Amino acid sequence: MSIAPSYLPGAWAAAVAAAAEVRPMTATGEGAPADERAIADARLLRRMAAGDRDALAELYGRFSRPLYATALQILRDAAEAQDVTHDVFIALWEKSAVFESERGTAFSWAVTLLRNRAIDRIRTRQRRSRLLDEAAPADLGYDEAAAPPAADDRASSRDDARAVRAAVATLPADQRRALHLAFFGGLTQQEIASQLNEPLGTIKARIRRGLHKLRDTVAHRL
Amino acid sequence: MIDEHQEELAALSALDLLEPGERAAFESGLDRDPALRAQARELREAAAALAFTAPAAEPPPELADRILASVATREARGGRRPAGRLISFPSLLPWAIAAGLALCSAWTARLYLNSRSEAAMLRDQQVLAGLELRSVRNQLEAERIVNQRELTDTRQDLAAAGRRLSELHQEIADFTRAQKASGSLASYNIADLASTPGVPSQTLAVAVWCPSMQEGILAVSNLPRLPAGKDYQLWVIDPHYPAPVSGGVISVNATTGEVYVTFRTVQPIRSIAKFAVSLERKGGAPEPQGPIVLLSDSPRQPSLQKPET
Repeated sequence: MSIAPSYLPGAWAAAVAAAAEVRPMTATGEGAPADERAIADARLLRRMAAGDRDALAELYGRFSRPLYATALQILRDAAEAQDVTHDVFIALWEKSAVFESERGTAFSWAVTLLRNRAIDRIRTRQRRSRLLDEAAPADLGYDEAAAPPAADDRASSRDDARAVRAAVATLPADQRRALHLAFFGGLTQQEIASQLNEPLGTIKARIRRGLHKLRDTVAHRL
Repeated sequence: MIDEHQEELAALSALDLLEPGERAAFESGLDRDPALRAQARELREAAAALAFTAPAAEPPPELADRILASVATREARGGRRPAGRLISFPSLLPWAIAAGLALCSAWTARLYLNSRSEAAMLRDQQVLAGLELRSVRNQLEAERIVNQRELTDTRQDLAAAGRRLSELHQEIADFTRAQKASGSLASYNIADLASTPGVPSQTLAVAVWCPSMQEGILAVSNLPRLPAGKDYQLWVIDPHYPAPVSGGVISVNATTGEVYVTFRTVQPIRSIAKFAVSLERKGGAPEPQGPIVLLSDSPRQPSLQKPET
């Protein structure tokens, strides 16, 4: 079944539909094993390195939703989130030749590129603290009742996004909070400690425990 | 074997939280330890998965077009090209035209992005100004509330001070009256009243009159029992009046025959010649009509010298 969004140009629509059938992580949740997905992503990057724009379209279909949602969560500005997402796909296109699958998956690479750009924007505008002050606990992404359902959640209960959210929800609240500030807030260790009014060592330990537990919980899906 | 400190550095690295010193130590550890490299990679994947916890948001439809256009523009400008792709010399002319068009497009796109960025900045400034305005309003409201409370407190203090002032005025008036009374003690008139013939001689009576207060005290003992339908009435004989001035009917203790009353006259007294008590009809009379039972001599002034001990 094709799930290509109707707004995409013809070539892109076809590519996205094809991508959905190859790796339905963000669409149907009928997921191929994680390794296969990572291999497929890496193959797309290799095709992009050879100048294949259809591969870019396919990668866009796989990554655009989580990347855009992350950018929006960090920046809280739709226009800026679009700019950053755009820049990341351009960077993926231009740097695809230097991608090394041994160092990580294409998705984690894309997330790293996105966070760096988004956080740079925040720091440039010196408005981090204001954005964080505006962020209510219900906005942190762990309040299942208050947060809008992920697009992927609507598609299937076996969707990766839902699995990760469920895994994060099992973490102790203090670990979730520390991870959230680190990932979406773009704060330094010291700033997180100040924000949470805890010693620096406690914050480091929470991040270590939280991330290790998350890895153990979702490893089979990543 | 990966120790806890290295695990911590790996987790911090996955979230790009390493400080410069920590980064150097961690990277040197990575070079030496394949297991640490594997763990760092796993943790980076786990960190990247946090992207799925962001509230769902659909990228706008035009974003895909924009990316495609940017890629096309970059290729036209001679950016990164697919590996192994050869371009023949005759094709240079159309490429040059395309490149020119692409440059124009890029320049236009740059202008568009710049203006978009400026618009975003202006929006931020507007939000900031709005927050500042709200902050100032809140501050003004807080000051207004504080001032109102202070005003209320001040009014209450003022009312309390007014009440205290009234009390002080009353105290001063009382004190002044007491002073006046004490100062006029020397002017008090004191007179013993003696029984007139026909009245038992064991009757004792004394009257004290304070001219300044126009008030007096009458004390009597062993006054004969009243006949039915009669009352004793006190009189003050002032030479300034043609008739005695009534000091009122006096109430007698029927058992002991004693009297102790404070009295005022119906007319102001300027000087006292004598006090008298007469037997009048029940309720008293405006002028004396009955027989006098007690009569004083001229009153005397009290001696203010201390009695010798």
